[in-house]
Amino acid sequence: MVQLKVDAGIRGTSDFLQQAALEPDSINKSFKGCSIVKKTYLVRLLLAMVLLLTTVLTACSQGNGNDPGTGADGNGNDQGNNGTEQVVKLDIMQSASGLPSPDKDFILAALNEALNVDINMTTYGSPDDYQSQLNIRMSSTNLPDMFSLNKAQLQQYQAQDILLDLTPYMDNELKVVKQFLGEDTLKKGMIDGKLYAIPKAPGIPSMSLWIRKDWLDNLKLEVPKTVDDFFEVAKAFVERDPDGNNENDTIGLTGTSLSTFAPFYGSFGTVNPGEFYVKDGKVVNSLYDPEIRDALAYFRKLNEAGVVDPEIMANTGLVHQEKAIKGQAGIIFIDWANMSKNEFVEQIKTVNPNAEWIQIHSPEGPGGNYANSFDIGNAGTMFAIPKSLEKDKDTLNKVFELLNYVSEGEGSRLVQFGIEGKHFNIEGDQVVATELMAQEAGYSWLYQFTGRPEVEYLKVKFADQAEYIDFASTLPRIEVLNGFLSYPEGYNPADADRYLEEEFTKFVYGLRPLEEYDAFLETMENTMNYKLYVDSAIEQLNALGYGN
Amino acid sequence: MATPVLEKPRKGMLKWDIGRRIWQYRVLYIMLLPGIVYYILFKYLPMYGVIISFKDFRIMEGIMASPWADPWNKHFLTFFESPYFYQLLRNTILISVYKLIFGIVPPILMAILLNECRVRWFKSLVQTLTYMPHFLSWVIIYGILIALLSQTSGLVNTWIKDMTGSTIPFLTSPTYFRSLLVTSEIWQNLGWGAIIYLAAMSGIDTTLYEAARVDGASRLRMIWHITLPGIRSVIVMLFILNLGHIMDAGFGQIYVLYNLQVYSVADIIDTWVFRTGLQQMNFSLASAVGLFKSVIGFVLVLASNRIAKKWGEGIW
Repeated sequence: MVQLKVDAGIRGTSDFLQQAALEPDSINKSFKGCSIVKKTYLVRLLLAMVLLLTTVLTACSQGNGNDPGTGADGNGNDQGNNGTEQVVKLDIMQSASGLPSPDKDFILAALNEALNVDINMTTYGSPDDYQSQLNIRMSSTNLPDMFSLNKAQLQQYQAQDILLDLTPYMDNELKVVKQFLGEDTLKKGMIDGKLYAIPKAPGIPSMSLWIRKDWLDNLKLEVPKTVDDFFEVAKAFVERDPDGNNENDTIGLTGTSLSTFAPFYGSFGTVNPGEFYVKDGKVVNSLYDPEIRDALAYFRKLNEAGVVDPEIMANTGLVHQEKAIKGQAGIIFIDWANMSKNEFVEQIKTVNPNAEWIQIHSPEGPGGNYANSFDIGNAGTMFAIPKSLEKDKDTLNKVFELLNYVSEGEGSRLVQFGIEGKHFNIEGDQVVATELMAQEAGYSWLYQFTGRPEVEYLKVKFADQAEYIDFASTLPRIEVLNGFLSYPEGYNPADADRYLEEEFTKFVYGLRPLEEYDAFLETMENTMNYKLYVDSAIEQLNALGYGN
Repeated sequence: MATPVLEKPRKGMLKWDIGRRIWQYRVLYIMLLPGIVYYILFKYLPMYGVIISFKDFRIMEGIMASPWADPWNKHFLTFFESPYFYQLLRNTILISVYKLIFGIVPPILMAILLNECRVRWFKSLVQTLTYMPHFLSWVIIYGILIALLSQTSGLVNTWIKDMTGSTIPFLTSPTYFRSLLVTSEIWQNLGWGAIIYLAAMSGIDTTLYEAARVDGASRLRMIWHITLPGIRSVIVMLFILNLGHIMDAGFGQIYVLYNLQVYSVADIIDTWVFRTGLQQMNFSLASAVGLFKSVIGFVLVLASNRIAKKWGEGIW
């Protein structure tokens, strides 16, 4: 493809060159005595320059190279057209990581064969990267045939009229997908009653507090039950040398940014700052809960006692997990996967064979022992199809076919577990994993465009982790509704979020007295337009049937 | 009647003259061509995109078809009316000015030291080592900074803890954050900046040094009276060019390094635009802010050149 481009580029520019050469020619006529030799020399020089330029230009336009429309029936592949059905190229883009190279990707190969397609999957690890790549491709109107997006992106792209309205297809072409997901899940991908993106089947909560059982044993402490116990234990982890190395080098609680404190809001009967939930039959925003001040006071107490990792704000990615694995921290708020998957258990045991991490309930406080809140409106990752594909029926139908295929039976098992007989066997009506599945099929979720039947899936795939999965998913949680909301015009979430997080950090770190909480709320409402958002949010949620 | 007859050939002569001179130096002109094409393609043509700052840009409709903003300065107002506007402006200018001022002397010193170094292999070794960091991405430098300054595992903080018993939150404290930005930036560009000065120094007439040596000048005297005045115009030029970028305080660096606790001293216009404009697909806002920044930069360059000219050192 690229080779072709370069050729075309040179041909194109050589036309230009001829024109350009005409001009020196006409100049030439007025200057007698300039020989033809010199002219060809000039042309050669020009050619060299233009060649250089062409490479630059092709480098820029390479993105257009995999345009699906021209890609399949371009001049590039003349062979393989004899009689067989045309292989349709599908360009899929998503924000994810862990995709193996195409030659090692057996799921890709199986999908290509089953559907007679040529899937080109591109993934971007960082959400920011993904967003900018997507934006670039949008502005060059060279959209992938299917791409992942989150709720905010869904709203933005829909407002830009980029997405294909899938509603008319749901009862025919996408019937299988509809059966698999159900009406309730599909609602998450809807805007004004029209479906613009296909949400994944709902997940289950996976986060909980984890604690070093062996440290507790070393210090002869019990698993903390109440918020006060928790404080004492965390303090002991810092001060009483739980790892017994006679050095003052341990951290109590670690985490990333303000989410470090997420498991404790429930102890006070509230949820993360800024989240909406139904309380006594009414939709409320947690910022207005009096309990949130008690929670803040508690965080401050933890901080002042020095039990919180001083670097939570600088911890990005999985730095906190690293600290836990390295034996620096004794308590962490994290999902089961990042602590109990075999690879991590192995790492933990390599650092210290005696290390033993266990999950615990959020400590009991005045508001109960709810774990971190669970957003039931959160659609997570969804997949959308660009409107431009409407004209390209062949490709569109293949995308539909792909979505249906991964939603039931054989195709669904392929993207969940891998290849039958190799990665799993069917015994009776049970899917049983082979050893190879854990080793090779870890990335299969990248192809689960419509999600998966979560509970059965995890039980097969993570048979070893079943108890941890169960624990995290059955913790009592307050359900929040932010996932259903869209932002009203005139409200800048970037400014408001920054102010909210910044001030919460100040409250937690004692840089602003808690007595100023009312003043904080006032600034939130007046300067940051928060009132506008809250009013609109309550209205939206009431319309959806919450808090009536 | 005589006049037109006289004028005609003269005009023709002039035209012919320019044409001939271009032809005479055609190789140089051709070498100039890629530069001109580059500027037209990547600097001048994109300028037409500036109009999206006055429109409600929609990707699928393209620049021309997108509706005009109502009022026309809507996106500029969004920026000016942000509760963080003054803080952003202040941070941007302060960080820039710090970088500009503290960034002038170290590369000059470096260049002088390298210039005076008589051991060739050592000179090239140091030069190579010091300009390497210029090619490191900020993500990597952040990794290095963590390894050095982290409170739980950083080398520097381990020493500080051994000596004083407590640690210093270099990465998360508003007190240290700007200094961290400035020093890491200077460190990154020390060797790179020195290259230009070294080149300027190699252009100084060596007879000047010989004459000074005959007069009994010491090395320091020679640096002060020959080397420094010799590169003065380059120093002024770089300063003026950098002034044009005063509204660019270093997005890549700050975006990688900053965190919640230092927003108040580190959030600059570009990071705000990234969060508010680009991440929410408000390209019109992003472009309006870009225009605002460019205008300020442009005015500053013009003004500083005017002033420099008074001292006899302008760029043009």
